[in-house]
Amino acid sequence: MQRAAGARVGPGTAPRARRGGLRWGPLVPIAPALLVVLVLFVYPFAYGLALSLHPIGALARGGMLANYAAFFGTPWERASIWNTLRLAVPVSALDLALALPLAYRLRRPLPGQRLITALLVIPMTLGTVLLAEGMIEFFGPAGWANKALLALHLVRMPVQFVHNYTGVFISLAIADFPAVFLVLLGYASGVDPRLEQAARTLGAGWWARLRRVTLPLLAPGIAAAAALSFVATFSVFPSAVLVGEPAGSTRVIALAAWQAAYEQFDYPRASAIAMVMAAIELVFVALVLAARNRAYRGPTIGGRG
Amino acid sequence: MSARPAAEPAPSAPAPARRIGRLEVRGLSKRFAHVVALSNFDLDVQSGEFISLLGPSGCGKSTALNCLAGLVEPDAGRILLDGEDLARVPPERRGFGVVFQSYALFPHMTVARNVAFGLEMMGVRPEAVAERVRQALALVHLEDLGDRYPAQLSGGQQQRVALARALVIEPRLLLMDEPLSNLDAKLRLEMRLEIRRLHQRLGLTTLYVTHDQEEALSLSDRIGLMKDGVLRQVGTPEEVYLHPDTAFVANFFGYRNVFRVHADAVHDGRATVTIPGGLRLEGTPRSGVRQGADAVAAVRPEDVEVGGPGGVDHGIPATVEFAEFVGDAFECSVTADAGVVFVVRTPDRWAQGARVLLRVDPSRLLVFPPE
Repeated sequence: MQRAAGARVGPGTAPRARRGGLRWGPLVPIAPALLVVLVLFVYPFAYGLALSLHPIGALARGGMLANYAAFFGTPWERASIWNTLRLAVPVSALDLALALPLAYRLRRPLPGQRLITALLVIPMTLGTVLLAEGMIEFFGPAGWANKALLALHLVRMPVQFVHNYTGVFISLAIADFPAVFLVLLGYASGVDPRLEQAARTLGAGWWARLRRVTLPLLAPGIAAAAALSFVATFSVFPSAVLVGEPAGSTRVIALAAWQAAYEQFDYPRASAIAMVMAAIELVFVALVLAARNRAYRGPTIGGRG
Repeated sequence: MSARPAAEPAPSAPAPARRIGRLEVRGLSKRFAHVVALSNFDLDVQSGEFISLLGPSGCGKSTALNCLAGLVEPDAGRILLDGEDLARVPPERRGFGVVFQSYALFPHMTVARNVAFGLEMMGVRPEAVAERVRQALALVHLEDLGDRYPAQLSGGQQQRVALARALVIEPRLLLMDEPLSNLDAKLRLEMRLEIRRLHQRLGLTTLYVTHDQEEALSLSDRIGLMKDGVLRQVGTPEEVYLHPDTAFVANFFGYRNVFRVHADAVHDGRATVTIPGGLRLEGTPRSGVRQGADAVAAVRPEDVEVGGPGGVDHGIPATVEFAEFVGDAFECSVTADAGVVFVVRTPDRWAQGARVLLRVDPSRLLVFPPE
C-alpha cells in the first residue's frame, strides 16, 4: 500500500520540485496581492526615489542629494515637517484616548449599540471637503459654535476656529476618529470578558484590572490604531488648505510636495519631499511595532472557550 | 484533614480563624429581561462543606454562582457569611476563589504570574508571594511549569493553574463553575479525583456547579437540584439518588421510565396508578400525591424485572424492540401490549421481537405529584 502510493505520487511531483530548488506552488494564491503591492507600492516608491536623486534646474549641479539638501537647508521647507508632526501626533493621541474607552465600553452588546456605533462611524463617510464646508459654517464667526459660546458668555468676541491650526486639528480629529475606533473595537471585542471577571474575583479594582489585564491585551490593537492614525494624519492635505492656514502654520509636508510638483513643476524635488514623508512615516510605524513587540502577543482568551 | 502527610508542603490551608462559619443565602432572585434566572434561592452551607448545584443548562445554577461571586447583581436577597451580608459587596472585596468553566487564565502572564496575581492584589510581600506561588503550584503538581504561558499548557494543566490561582488566596469560599466540562472523559475523571483530594486536604467550603450528576454524586457532601431558577431538592447524594422528591429529580438521577399516570388509590404508603392505555401498576407514593388526581410514576431501568413466559408467573406482557449491550448488562427497549414503552436493564440478551413479561417492584416505582 505504502509503496504503491509512493510510486504513484513520487516521480510526478516531488523530485521535480526538489530539482527546481524552489516551489512556486504556494506563491500562486498570493500572486494577485503581490502584484498589487509591486505595481502600486514598490514601483512608484522606487520610481520616486530614483527621480528624487536626479535634481533638475538650479539644483542640477548640486549632486544626487541636492533635492534633500535643499529641503532640509531651507527653514520654510523644513518647517513643514514640524507643522505636520504637531498635527498628526496630538490628533492621533486624542483620537486614541477618546476611542479606547468607547471601544472598550461598546465591545459587548448594549442597548442602542448599533445606533451609537453608526453615529461614531459617520464622519468616515463624509469626506474631507464636505467636512471642511460644514466646519466653516459651524465654527465660523457667525456659526453655531461661536453663537453658543457668546450666548453662554464664555467669550466676548467670536473665537477663530477655522483657517488656522485649530481648524485643521478639529477636522483631522473628526475624520480620523472612525478608523481608530473601528480598529480598537475589533480588538476589544476579542478580549474575553471572563478575564476581567477573574481579575475582580482575585481582588483587582478597576485601575489594576485596566493596567494589568485590559491594556496589555489591547496593546496590539492600540499599536495598530496608532500606526494607522499617524500615517493617515501625517499625510493630511485637503483640510490643511480648506480649514487651515496653508501659507503659514498649517503648511504641511504634503502641501510642500504638492507645491513643488504643481506650482514649480519640479517633480524630482517633489519626489524628494515625498520620500522624506515616507521615511518619517516608516520610522514611526517601526517604532510603534517595536514597542508592540515588547508587549504581549498571543491569544486574548484565557483557556478553552 | 488531620492525616496530612508530613512530606508535602503545608500550602494554602486557611488558618481556622479565616474559615467561614456558615454561608446563608436567603431569597436570592435574579431576572434577565423577561426570564427569571433565579427565584427565591435559599441555601445553607456549613464550614468545610462541598455542595453541588446540579441541573440542566439554563436552570439558574450558574446565575446562583455568579451572584455569590458578585459578578451578577441579584435583584433581591441576602448572602450572609457568618452573619455579614455580602450581597452588595463588589467581587474584588469578597475574597472568594472562583474557578471558571473557561479557566479565564490571563493569557499574557506566565503560570506563576497568574497564580501570583491575587496575592499581589492583596498586597502580600514579594518574597512571600514567590513562596506561596511555589506551594500552590506544588499542590496541583505543576511546580515545574511556572514559566510557561497558559497557551503552552494542556487543558488539564490549565485547569490545575485555575485551581491554584483560586486556592492561593486562601478563599473563604471556593466557587467552581462547571470546571471539568471542557476536558475529555479520562482527564475529567482524573481532575475529579484531584478536586476531591484538594477538598479533603484543605477543607475549603466549596460550591460546585455542574450538569453532570456523576460529578455531583461523587464529589459532594450535599447536592442541590435546580430547575427553572428554583432549588427543587437539597440532600446528600444518597438522599437525592434513592429518595427523589419530585419526578424532575428522579429523572435526573436515572429514573428513565417516567409516565404520566392517574392515581387510582393512595393509602398506607402504597399507590395504585393507571398509565394511559390501561396499564395498572403498584408503586410507592412520595409526598403530595392525591388519590383520584394526576401523578407521575418513575422507575429505573434496573428496577424492572424481565422474564420469559413461564419464568415469571405473572407480569406485564411485552415485546422486546431492541437491545443494546452497555458493558455490564443489556439495555432493552420493551413495548408492553398496552402500548407503553419501558427501558429495562437486564443481564440477559433478548432477541428482537421476543415475548417477555415485565415485573415492577412496587417499592421501586416512585409516584410523584405532577410537576
